[in-house]
Amino acid sequence: MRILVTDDSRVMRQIVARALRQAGYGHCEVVEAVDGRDGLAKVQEADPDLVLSDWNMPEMTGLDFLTALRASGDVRPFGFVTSESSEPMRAAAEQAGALFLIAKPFTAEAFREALEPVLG
Amino acid sequence: MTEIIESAPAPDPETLELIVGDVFAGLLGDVEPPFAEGDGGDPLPVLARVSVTGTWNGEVVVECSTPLARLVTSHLLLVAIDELADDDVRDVVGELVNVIGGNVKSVMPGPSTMSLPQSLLDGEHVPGAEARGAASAVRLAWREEPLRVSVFTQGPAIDREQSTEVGS
Repeated sequence: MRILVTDDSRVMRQIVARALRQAGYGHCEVVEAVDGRDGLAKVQEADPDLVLSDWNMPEMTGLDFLTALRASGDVRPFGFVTSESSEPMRAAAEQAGALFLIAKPFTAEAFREALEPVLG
Repeated sequence: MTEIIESAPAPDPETLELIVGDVFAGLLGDVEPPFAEGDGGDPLPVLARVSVTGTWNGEVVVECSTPLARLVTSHLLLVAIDELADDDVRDVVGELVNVIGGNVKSVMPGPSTMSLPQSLLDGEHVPGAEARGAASAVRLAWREEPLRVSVFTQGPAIDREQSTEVGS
């Protein structure tokens, strides 16, 4: 199983990968992307089972990344991991097709709760 | 008759302290939270900022000592302090203000858009210039190293163009 972690911060990609291991997904291969544009390319290359993405990134935001994926007919599971979780943002994420939004700072438990319905 | 211009709201220092404590706990795991140190102290040479525009307009600034920035970076990356690159430290303080700023934004009226973080290390700016005129600020210590979080507001938000964009 493969998970794409998209975040412009190398440190945050590392922290997300660590949280995934702590949440029981250490068996999954983690693929990294540095922004939405890179994420689109990595989806094609790596064919991940789940995409996790930051929201606010240079080049292409997470929301634009998700919108572009869905516009291309790609319906693979997608969730946001972002530093803010206001209701308008959650609504925008859901409307665009995101399955969940994990707010930073997060716990491994938050990942477990969000990912279990998707990956088991 | 004196006209009173009400400034835009900002989280009080206690709320800022709670946010910083949550962020440290979330990012660093089981560590003691930073504690309030009181005002004053030397200017802090590492600075990171994000700005928020929309229904609420403001800037969130994190300033800290170089040892604190390197200590947090070392904890997050699991790399020895003397092996850290400046870019790693810049990334970490940027992410720190990004997460703190996102949480500040969450308790302010929305919708608003948050900028990407800007990080400046020692020697890349004039320390102390940010400390003046904050609408709210808290100076903390973590492992005996100082950290200051300030929120600057840009006047009443009612005259500003409201954004429907959201982001963080």
